[in-house]
Amino acid sequence: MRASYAQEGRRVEERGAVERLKKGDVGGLEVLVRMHQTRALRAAYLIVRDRALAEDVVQEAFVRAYERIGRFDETRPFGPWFTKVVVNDAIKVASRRERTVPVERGEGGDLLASLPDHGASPEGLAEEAEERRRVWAALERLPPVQRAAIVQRYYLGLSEAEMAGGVASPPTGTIKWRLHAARKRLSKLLSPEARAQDVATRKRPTSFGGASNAPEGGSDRE
Amino acid sequence: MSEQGERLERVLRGCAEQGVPDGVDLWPGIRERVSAEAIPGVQTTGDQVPPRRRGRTTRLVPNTLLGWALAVASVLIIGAGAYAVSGPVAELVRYGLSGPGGPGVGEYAGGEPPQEALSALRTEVDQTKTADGVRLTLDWAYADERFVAVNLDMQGPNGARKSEGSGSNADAVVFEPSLWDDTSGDEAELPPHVEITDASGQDFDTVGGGTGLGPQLTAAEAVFDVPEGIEPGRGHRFRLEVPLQEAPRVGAKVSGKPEPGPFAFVFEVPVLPAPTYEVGQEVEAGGVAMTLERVVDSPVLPQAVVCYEPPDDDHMWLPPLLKEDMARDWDRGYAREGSLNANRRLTDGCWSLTMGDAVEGRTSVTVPKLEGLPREPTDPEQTSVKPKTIRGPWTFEFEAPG
Repeated sequence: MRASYAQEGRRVEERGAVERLKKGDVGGLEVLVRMHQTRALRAAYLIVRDRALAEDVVQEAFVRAYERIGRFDETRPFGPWFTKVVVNDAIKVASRRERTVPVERGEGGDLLASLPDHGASPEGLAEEAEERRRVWAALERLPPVQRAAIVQRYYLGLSEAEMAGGVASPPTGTIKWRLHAARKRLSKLLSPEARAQDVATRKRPTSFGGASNAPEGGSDRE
Repeated sequence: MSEQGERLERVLRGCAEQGVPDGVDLWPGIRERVSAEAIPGVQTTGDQVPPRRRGRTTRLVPNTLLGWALAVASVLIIGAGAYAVSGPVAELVRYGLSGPGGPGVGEYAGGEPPQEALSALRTEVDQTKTADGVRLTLDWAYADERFVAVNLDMQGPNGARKSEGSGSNADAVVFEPSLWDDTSGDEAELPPHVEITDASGQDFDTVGGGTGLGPQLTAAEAVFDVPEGIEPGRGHRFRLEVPLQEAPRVGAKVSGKPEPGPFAFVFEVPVLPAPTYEVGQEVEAGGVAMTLERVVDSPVLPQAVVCYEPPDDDHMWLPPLLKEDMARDWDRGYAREGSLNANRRLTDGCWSLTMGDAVEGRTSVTVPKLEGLPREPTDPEQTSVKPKTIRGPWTFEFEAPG
């Protein structure tokens, strides 16, 4: 499939920004920041589960891009490379601030088969909000690398090959394994049995939509 | 993508948009950071972007595999960006640093990596020492017959950036545990560094680990080799001494401020068995005969010791790491949870490689290739000697006792 005019225009703009930055024009960096910050920040947020930390991760990644732009091949798209840097950094940060939470392992069913399709009715919307809360809580219980695999595959829409390609990325086999393990664990965590247990044993309120740093039930470990 | 996948995508998007609404603007903070880095009066061009000071782990003496990889990585990789995405460098990076997932590359690995067992096998120590406003906590320790590992967290007074989102205290003096590879050379030449001792008086070398300057705290992990072994099955008392050193940061000046500490911890941890199995199996591939001499069945840091004659003298011939997920930690010195490793070159020229899978029953070890890096200079663009790769695989299979 050919890229749309909008995509091509964006690509040209991005390439121009990289070239400007390579010539020492920091305005090029501003263009790149404006183009990629939101998507990168959201991906980082899903992995580190803390808005401020996610901002730090993305900001640091842009600063590194600035430092290393001299060796960046401007014929290649900046976005995928940058997104990988952000994901990798987010994994590091998440791993450092989290201690592994032992999760019961077991066979799960089909991926997220427990996610029913809600309609647009008020009840449906409420259920969708509850579903969001459950997925958010379930993601918390995945190890950061598996959480990142889910984010890359389902939020960023990357294929396994795209997730594996590039510098410092694990081989495809590892990606497949991570996705497999992540889906299985997520599926188990979202199963009706886990849901019942979750309601009964939840330690802290998961006030999805609240105003704190981790409004959706994330925890801040200092 | 399946319907369920699309639903998950929608849910994730909802979570992301709720946590990060439209209208975010990181540019002011980033502009501040890059302005702090720029050298006044100097027109910064792409090629003259001031290099970032390397993390502590990148200053390790290159005697271990980690050290070699870091030394090479610091030249070849750090800052390479997409330059390294294609061609032999990318191959080197992918296989030399990330490494394949051990046996069964490209297939689903069975079970969890042994280091996920760490959370169950480590001992929570949770000792905190304070000096000059710095709080250093020995979180946990792990010991078996062959390795000791510790995890440290440090806070204040300026030991970590504030988590304020778009801001960072770039002028702050930041300290970190002084981790150095002391496996070779004259240890006396090294600055004061993290050391562990016990009543036996044996010399524990630092063979793995790293420091991480996180947004909220500074953390470090260290793995020490136990040269003479420790008797398993009982508690063993150690003394850990942790000097700090100033960590140069982007946009921050080296202050020369005296380091707080050193900090000393005395703790006792149970010692787990880590038997060594002599294998002595030779496999030839790509014209190179490789021997799996022995396997150290450490519950958390299983080691495969492989030996081979270097195919030529123009290159350093490195085996890729067997365990995944380490390269990404080195770039910024992060010691990622569960990323412990003890890869190193032994004095007899063999390599001790941390395995990605546990030693259990019928066990397989695969070294997929050997990477030949030009000996000097280390920048491949400055030498006529090009990197080489000899593809294996060298696969060893053996039955682990018990």
